[in-house]
Amino acid sequence: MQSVMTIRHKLLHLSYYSSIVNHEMIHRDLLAGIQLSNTDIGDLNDLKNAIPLDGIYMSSNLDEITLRLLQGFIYIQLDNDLHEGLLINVADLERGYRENNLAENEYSVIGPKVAFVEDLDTNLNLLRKEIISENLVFEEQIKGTMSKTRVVIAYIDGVVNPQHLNTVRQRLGDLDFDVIYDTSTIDQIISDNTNTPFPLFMSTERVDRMKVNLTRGHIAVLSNGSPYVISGPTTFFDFFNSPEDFYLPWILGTFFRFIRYIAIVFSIFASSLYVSVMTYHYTIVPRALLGPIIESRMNVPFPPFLEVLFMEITVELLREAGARLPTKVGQTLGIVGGVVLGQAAVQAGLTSNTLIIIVSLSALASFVTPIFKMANTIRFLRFPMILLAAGWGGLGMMIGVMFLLGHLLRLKSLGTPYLVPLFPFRYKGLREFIRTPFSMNSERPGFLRPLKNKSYSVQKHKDISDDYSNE
Amino acid sequence: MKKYVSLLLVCFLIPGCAKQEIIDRIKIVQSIGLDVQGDTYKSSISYASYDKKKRLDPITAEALTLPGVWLPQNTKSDDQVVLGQVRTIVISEKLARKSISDLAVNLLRDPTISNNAAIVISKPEISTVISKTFRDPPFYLAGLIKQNMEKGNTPLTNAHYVLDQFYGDGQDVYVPVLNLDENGLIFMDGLGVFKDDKLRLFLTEKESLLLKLLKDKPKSMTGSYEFKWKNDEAVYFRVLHGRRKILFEQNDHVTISLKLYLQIKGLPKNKNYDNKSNLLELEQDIKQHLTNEIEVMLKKFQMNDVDPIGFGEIFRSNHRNWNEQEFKKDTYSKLYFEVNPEIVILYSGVGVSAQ
Repeated sequence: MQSVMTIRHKLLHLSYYSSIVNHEMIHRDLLAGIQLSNTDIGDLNDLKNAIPLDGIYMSSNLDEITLRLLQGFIYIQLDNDLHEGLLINVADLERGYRENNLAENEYSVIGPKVAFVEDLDTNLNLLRKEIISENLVFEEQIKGTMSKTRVVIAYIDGVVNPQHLNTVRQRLGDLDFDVIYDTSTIDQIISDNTNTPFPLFMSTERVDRMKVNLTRGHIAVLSNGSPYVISGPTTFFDFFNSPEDFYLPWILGTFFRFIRYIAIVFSIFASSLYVSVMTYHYTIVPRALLGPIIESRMNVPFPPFLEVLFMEITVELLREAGARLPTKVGQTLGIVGGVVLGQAAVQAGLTSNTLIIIVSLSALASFVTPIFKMANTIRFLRFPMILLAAGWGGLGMMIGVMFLLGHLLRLKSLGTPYLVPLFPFRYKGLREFIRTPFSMNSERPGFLRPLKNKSYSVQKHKDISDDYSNE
Repeated sequence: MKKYVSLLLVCFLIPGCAKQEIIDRIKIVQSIGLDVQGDTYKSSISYASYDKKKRLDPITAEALTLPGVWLPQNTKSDDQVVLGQVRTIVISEKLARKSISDLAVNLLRDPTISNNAAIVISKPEISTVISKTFRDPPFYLAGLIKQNMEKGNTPLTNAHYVLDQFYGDGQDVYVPVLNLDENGLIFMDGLGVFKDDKLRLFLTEKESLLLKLLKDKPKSMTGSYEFKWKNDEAVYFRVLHGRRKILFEQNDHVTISLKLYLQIKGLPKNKNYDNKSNLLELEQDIKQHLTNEIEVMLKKFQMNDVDPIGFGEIFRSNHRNWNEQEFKKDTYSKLYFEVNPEIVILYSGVGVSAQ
């Protein structure tokens, strides 16, 4: 929008996009400042001094002017000199973006629930407030030819490995895309291998998780318009860590972590184990289980493979539909789908009792990973496994495991192998599996190759002695 | 790379050839009963059935060779008959007296029969026993035999042991025996001992316990025993566990030292349970009794020229030049056994008995 205003007998040309500027700031600070200034405005410099805002550029470059106008700047030209003008940042950052930053998708009972929002400056603000160190560096770039999104690389100088940093910088520099929708877009473009269902960057919306990652030596990438922050390099086992583990005593944290590992294994293999045992390997069923299994399957006309496929697709349909329904209808359908559908399917003789338990438990178990992206991967991996089990039984499952392992072993995230500390076996790295007490965790993990290894020093209690009378 | 992917995809066409045995569409055989009449072999198969509505009959077959009746062809069944979960193989006395070498060959060559299956001889008719198993819950017979081996008087034996004893030197085969009582219930009735491949003699239940004490591992050396004390009063005790050592002194002298831990369950009425001298006297008497009984049983084995305890095997492990024929002909009959049991009464319970 262009408008012409006369202030103190001077004609000013204002150009701005009225949808993205903060009108209040224009009225209150900008125009009022010009109107109330004492000095006479002769040229642009006087105008600059009169305006009580900072970040004012003088510019006559058309490209820069267009870019800045699109970002919410206002361009003021004096009537007598239309070649040059002032660019002032009056962008409206608040409108349209949500105010609250409660972490909804990654919930934890204990601990701060602060999450990032869509606005980049707010996110940088949150990070800067948490890590108070002069070594925290933000490097900003503009990516996306049509969206001109601001992308920021965040890292802690002196800790992070310069090789990783250079990799990220180089990949981001080479990136060419039209609209950067979300950091996931950046994630998929700069990741090492795009043909994998496994996430190679940790993406999170919680501030405390990003804090932990930065202090350990990861590199974070933030982008404007996305509440998710990606950080790399990651390993497969990072996706099973939940911030809640760190807020509980380490024994409980370890216990819950093991439950997650077991849940993952169960979720991938339970349905395919059912198919392969029922179809090919009746000999391994224990005596006590033969009765219940045969009795539950007696009225089912389908072979186990079709039964499992039917049930799995039903569960997937429920999940997809439930994600898109409005809340009120969604709740009802959840109950209906969960309980009634299962029971009715058994009564109608379409599935067996044991299968309902197995499928619903494995569906639940696939969501125990705190990061949503990994949960989707686990959910997906079950289907090829079921197909292989139906084709070749136990042998098929082993073939699937071989393929999976072969794929995982070759994955690299920003150059570090994905299965550290298992595959290039690092004895010291084995403490990633359990949530070690803080007294044992003073060194940074080795796969990140940080420049500084020690993060804090452990000191004993001065008032509690370390003998058995303490127990 | 593209070559490998297309090869892989072609491999996925093969699963159509896999043999499916869907668990509720097969007949899962729980026991095989084998009999011989003249030249023809007969078999009677009982399967596990969880469907209350169907009529249950054993599947029978007849053929001139044992492999012909091993897995009866499906002419009498509406589902495929599978042998993967067979847990008992019941052979008739006639078949046992004729020869079990055919049975051993079949067990060896059939990969689907488990090595844990129990082989038993049945004194009554096979068809009676097998049709009786239909009236019990599935795998009842297997449970009966297993329970007796763990806690009763039957020594531990299964197809693996039988094959090892049959094909190995210096050891003769022994299998448990089934019988039907007056009410029609199946019970375990001692052991049957083979010489080479023919049934030679039957042992009573008491003797089978003594064999168990001489053969089994310490944890499964359990059983219950009843014997008559002086004044014709009966004492009943349970063996909890024990240890055993079999040694050779000189060439013909074998020492068997047993250490048994007992639990006294039934004493005569005029004896007191917590009188120490009583118990000591009881220990000595049990010792004496066991020594006698075991020596009698071993002499019986020597007379019948069978070796179920496997002295030949023990000799073979101790002597450099050992020949099975030589051992059987010369040495075995001349062996002198010295049995030294040591009895420890662990529990005698609490309680007062009549004074």
